[in-house]
Amino acid sequence: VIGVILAGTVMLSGFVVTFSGVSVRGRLVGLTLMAGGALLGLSVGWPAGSTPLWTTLVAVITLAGMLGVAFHLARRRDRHRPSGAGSGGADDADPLDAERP
Amino acid sequence: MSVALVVVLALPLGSALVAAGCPRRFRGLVGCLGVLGVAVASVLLAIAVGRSGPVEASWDGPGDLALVLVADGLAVTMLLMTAITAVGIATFALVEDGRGEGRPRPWWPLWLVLVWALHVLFLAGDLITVYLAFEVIGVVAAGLVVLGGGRRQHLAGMRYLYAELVATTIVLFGVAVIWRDTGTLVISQLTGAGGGAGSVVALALVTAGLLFKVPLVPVHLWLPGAHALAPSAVSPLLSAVVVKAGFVVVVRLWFDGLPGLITPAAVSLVGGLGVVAVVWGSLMALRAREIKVLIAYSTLAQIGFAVALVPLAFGGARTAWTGGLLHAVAHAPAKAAMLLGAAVLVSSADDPTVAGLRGAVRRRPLAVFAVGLGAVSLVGLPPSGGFVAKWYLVLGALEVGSILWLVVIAGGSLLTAAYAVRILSPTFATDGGEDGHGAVGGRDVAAFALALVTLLLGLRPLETIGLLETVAPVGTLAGAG
Repeated sequence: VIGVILAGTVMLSGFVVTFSGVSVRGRLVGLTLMAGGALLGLSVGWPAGSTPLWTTLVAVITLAGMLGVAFHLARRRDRHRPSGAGSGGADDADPLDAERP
Repeated sequence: MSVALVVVLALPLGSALVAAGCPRRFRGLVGCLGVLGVAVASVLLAIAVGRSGPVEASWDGPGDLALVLVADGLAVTMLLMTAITAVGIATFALVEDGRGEGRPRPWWPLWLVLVWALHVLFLAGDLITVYLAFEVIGVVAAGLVVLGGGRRQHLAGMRYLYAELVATTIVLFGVAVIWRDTGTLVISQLTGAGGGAGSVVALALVTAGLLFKVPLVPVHLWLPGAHALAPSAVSPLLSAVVVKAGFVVVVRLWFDGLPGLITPAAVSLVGGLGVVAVVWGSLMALRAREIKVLIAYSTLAQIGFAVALVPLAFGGARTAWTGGLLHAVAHAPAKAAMLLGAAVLVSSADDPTVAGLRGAVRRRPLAVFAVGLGAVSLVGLPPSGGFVAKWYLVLGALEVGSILWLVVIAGGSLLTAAYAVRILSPTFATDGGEDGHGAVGGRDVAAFALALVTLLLGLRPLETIGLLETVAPVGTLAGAG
């Protein structure tokens, strides 16, 4: 139970960081924390006597892939950002408003 | 394992691999033939399930990894919805390819992988399969939005991916706790495995994650951007099919998995979110300037109608169970027809706003007709599938005496009519559309064919209703009643 509570705490802190972060990097750190918490929960949240190796491994690979895509998109966004734009909060803008007069 | 089930799973993935490797000019053809084959296999699977009951398959992977697939009435109905909608959209995309509109290299393979992942999700009989399918859907769908190319699309795709990541991790954590508490992840075995206080928390987490994915207000902020800014042959798949994925898993978990843990407060909360979705989505659709944004907000509102299933069915109304699911199914071809028709109208006027629709009926009559028929189904007018769905929902509301839901269904339908008129009214204006009189192209025909499916669903609803009723959670409904 302690492991699950610890995992839940990591996830919750990741959630808070994700939604309070003003920069893309902060948001990605929050999402990574959330993923770590979920994986920790998966690796300790098993009935006694079970070995969670393969399911956890699959979850690690898929979550890492998803985070990898998120980091890649963030890097691409940085590359294409107009010169002079600030570093924080740019992806908080509503994309529907981004190019309206 | 049934041959049709194998085809339904293998063909989209196989087509994606072939499309990734073949020359650019053949990719659209591979995609179209792939989804057409899947549609045929889905029909055969539905017939087999209707005659002989659910088809199940499981795969014992290495060590502890085990995946379970169940093709029951709900799964095959969703497969049919996906396959038929996908055939219309793929045809539209193929015609676009023929017009020489450049499509990024990974588009067709990713689009086919999305169809495959949706099939896996609808067939998923255990929570790890659900989680894995959601992972693929999230990454691929966000990637398809980004492939739209511009800065706005990039922002929308990133927002979408963030939302998917948050939702997926919350779902995974909940899945872990359910496993710990019940010792199984097979949805049909969860009821027998009981579940204590931990399972209540876990179910709440999984539900919250799934509501992010559906989405309902107030966790919907990623939806309008992603759905409105995605390429024209991606938006319909997102708005018509992908939003149903989370909804179907919620229904399975709540009614089949752990119905004993659902409290009246939880039912009221989800029902309340449904009401807010109907009202908020409709009001935002009434305010939207761009056509695709309007239609994207209407998706939010229409999901709210389907959610009526939860409070009404837990109140004991079996008709509401059928009505909610039928609404989810009927919404798919109607929404896809509207979005495809709108894409034709936007490109013909070169103006994405509602104002750009002036005189569109003379430029592209069939596309306007497709949008109109889609709107008829969303409003719930006969003889569309939307009408039958709302009829069942109203019967359910009467059955349990829910005045609130009667008012929401009636009021929400009026609001739907109001934003439908916002789209259709300018198309009949006489001061626009002087050139390109009455042009009809392959894209118009694809949109119109999907609009006809909504009528077919209204004229022949009993087959679909029959399939859905085979999975009605009789125990839960009887217990509630």
